[in-house]
Amino acid sequence: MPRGGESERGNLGSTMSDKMQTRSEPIKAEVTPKSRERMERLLEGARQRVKPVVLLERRAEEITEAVVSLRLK
Amino acid sequence: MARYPVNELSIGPFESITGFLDEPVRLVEDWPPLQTQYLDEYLAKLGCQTYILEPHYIDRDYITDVAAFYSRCLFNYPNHCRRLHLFRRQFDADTWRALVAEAVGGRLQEIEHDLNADYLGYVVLRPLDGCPIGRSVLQVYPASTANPGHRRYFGAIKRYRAHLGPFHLVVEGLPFQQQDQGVSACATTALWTSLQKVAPMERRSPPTPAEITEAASRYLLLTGRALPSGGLGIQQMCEAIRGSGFEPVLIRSLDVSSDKAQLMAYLASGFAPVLCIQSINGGNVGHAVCLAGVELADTVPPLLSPNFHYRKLADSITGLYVHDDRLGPYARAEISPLTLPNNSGIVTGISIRGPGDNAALFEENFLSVIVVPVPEKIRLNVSRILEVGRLIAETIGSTLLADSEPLVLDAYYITAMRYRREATKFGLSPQGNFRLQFQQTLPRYLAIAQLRLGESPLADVLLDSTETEANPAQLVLVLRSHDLSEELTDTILSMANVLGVDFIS
Repeated sequence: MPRGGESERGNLGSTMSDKMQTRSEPIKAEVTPKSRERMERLLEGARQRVKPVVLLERRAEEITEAVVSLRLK
Repeated sequence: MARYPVNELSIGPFESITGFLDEPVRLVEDWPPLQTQYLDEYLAKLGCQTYILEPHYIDRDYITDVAAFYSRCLFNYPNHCRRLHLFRRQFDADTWRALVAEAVGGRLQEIEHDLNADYLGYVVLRPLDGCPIGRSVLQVYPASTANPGHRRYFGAIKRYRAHLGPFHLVVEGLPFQQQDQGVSACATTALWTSLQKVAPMERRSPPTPAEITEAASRYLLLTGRALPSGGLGIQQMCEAIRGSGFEPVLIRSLDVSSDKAQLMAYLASGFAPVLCIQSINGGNVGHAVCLAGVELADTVPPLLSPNFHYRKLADSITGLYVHDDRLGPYARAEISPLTLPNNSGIVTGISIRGPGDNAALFEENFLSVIVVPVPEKIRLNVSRILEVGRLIAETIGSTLLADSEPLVLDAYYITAMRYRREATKFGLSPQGNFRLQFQQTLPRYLAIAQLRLGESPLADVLLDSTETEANPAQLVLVLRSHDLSEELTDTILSMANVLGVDFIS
């Protein structure tokens, strides 16, 4: 079993369930106004729910004085 | 008249690394070093049976250290090392000679293939009494673990070739070495390991410890002098990374789930994050280790909040495998929430253990900051990939039925070249495939927010990793699943439409 590394993502499972069946035609990229409206509504609801997590995780980029003063030996 | 040394191999049954070291005449702090004891235990777990010792081996890293530091010591340090090749099978000197004779007789590839099946890697022994372990690459633990329902994943390993006579011996691992406190401290060694992996991805030569210390101390001397090395600060680590031709990404530890997501994304992209850890007893002196792999549960747990409709692959991490230069390669570490003394906060605890899954606790620390050297073309950080991915996952997840397979979010970087090769297995329509392979403009590194339904890939959202936060980075939505309901297909199609990205199926 592959272990990862540079040549593939290994046993993370990203490709393991890809079935070797091929779609004969691409799905027609047609979206009705009704579908688009529904998606906009869903997206807005999701945005409100994930907002606190997003704000929290942005704090990972704030490098504090304590981090800068850390010495590693 | 001085003569070139004769490189007479010795071959025999392997007992221990420590057995190859002479007890120092001069007093050293710990003998034998903890690292050699660790390696002995690790090699016993890999089932090491036989060694081949090259007595005169020029190691690029060590000879650079000699030029930078040891050549000016009063003691006459040799410029060469010894190298031990390790095998899982039994053979003796006569068998080895017979194998070489057969290889000359036209069976080279066959014998090489056979030897590689049992090759465990190599250990370089430096002529430094207090810190003998030089650049060593050993095979990783197998993917299967003793823990049912779990597997190991080593994302930061690479295939290395060792040349022994006519044979190309191959080992998949991540280089390790001990800090010598002359030209390197722990941060130097952890960065050295990390850069060993990322440098070849950009066709660069990995820097030696001496070069890292030199680059780190070019503009900033926190410890008063560069050599002997008294450790590095975070800014010096950043300088060393920049000096090596890469960009440093700094991530402050937030909580276990966020930290796992960051670590997993970089590891799955083939980068080796450096973990800067601190003792729970306080102080601003920490330690640095390099992440080589993780242990994953086969089942991805749900998020802690019931308000969400997706899961994160990174939450299935149940353990880490780190290169700790005080111990050895692939040391097991637990990652879990840890309450600081006096109830002063909850942090991400990192408990490092000896070799093996059930080894004794070596040290308990908490994660302070993650440092990742990345190619300079990658500007879009993991937080941003997750931000986009989380929004899409939550939107699509909210439309799924309660008995549906869980929607799982994964994030990583991949070169467009590799993604295009992998895409030939996605089963895209001929038109969709042609579009992705030739017509779609892609950057060198793609940032991917991947959605899965259980184990099966559902869709990949391709992001332009050269973008900044201010600009939209979404490029394409690639539909991967073939067994979707009409309703879910319509949802994903509408998502692509609202995001304003191309839809490839």
